[in-house]
Amino acid sequence: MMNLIDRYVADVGRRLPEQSRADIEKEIRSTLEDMLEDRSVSDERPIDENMTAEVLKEFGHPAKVAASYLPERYLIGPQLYPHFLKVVKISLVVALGVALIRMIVGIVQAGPEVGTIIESIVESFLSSGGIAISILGNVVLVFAVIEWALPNIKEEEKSEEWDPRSLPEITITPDTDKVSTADQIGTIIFTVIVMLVLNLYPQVIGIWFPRDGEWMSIPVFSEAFLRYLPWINILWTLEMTQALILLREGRWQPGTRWLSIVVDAVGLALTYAMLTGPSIIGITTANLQALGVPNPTMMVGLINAGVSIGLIVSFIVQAFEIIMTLYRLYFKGKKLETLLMLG
Amino acid sequence: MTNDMLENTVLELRRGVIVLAVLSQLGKEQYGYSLLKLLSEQGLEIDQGTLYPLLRRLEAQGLLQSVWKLEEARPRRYYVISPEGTQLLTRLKEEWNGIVVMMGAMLERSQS
Repeated sequence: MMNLIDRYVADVGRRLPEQSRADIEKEIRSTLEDMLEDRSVSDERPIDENMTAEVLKEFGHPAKVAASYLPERYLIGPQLYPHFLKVVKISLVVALGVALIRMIVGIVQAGPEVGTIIESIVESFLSSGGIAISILGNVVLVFAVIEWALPNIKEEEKSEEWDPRSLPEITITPDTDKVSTADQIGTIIFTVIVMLVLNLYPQVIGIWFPRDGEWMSIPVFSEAFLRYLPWINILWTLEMTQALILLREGRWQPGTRWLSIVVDAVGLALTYAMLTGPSIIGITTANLQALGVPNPTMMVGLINAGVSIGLIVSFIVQAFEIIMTLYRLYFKGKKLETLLMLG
Repeated sequence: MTNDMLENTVLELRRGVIVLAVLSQLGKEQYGYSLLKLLSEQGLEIDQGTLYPLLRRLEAQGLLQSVWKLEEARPRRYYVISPEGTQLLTRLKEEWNGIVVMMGAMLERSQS
């Protein structure tokens, strides 16, 4: 029966820090012996293994008993936890955005075969999962280090000297969720016209000039550009769908915000492909020479540089729009909710 | 209202008086188990997992003093209130009396 107490005390002890272990073990043992003796007197029977087991059970599981002697320990404590959660959310949203763009670039570069597209999607999913876990791990690590190493930072937050007047003002932001009907109708009409022209009469878009009594044209877009056409069609179809949903709902909702992220991400991937791929402009030095344009080499260089700059600007704008949409999804919504709750 | 809810609320109420109760009983030295029984005899049941670690904490804060004694071939750790603990006990008693008067009046007013 002593054996049971020895085993119990040892099991509690191994969960305790070394410096206090022997002392707490001694105290627990002494208490258990008192309890056993007391039980033996009250039950009028000698101490045996059953009684010892009963008393130990009453005293509690070794893990629970050991825990009661330890201070509460956190990897990330309650003071840091809200900040931790915020950083995790932001990091994961950014990672998701980047993964989405990478996936779309991958699909565009994979070419039209279904097999390679699926392969590229699966690959993106796997690598995004890995990236998300690694981001989470790193954020946890950083916060755990802050929790462990910088207790003073946490103390500051509960400082008695805070001034209520330093509380942030409640600002009612303009309603960014409202949709302009005219804008959406304009988008739809413009997209339909350009889509029809590009798909049905691509040869119309060019520099037209009269020669020997006939109208001749130099196509503006190259063959390379026409290969992007299926993807451009997908992008525009998505844009029109978005415009139609917005017209119907009258307001931006989380669903349409996400759709606009997809649209921008597809646009971003296409812009990237156009920037890094062969020139989308079909105007050549020979074409310009035939037209009698002075300094045709320089002109072609200027046109291509202009297109590249345009594509870069468009890339930056779309990336910025994705970030802004994510921001609206994750922060503006919360502010509004808080305001509604207060109101 | 469930029984659990009642039990938890009562537990919460009693938790607040444990330190006062423990300090009040340690004018005379007691070992852990004898203190547990002493409190229990007077109607305050405290979980062992709460009392023993609490005694160590109060000692670490300087409110109690302890000494190991060998009795009946068994070592026992005896706790007794320290001078600092006695000062705190005086203040806590005043607070407690204030709370009893204040809550009594509050509950009476709410009934009428």
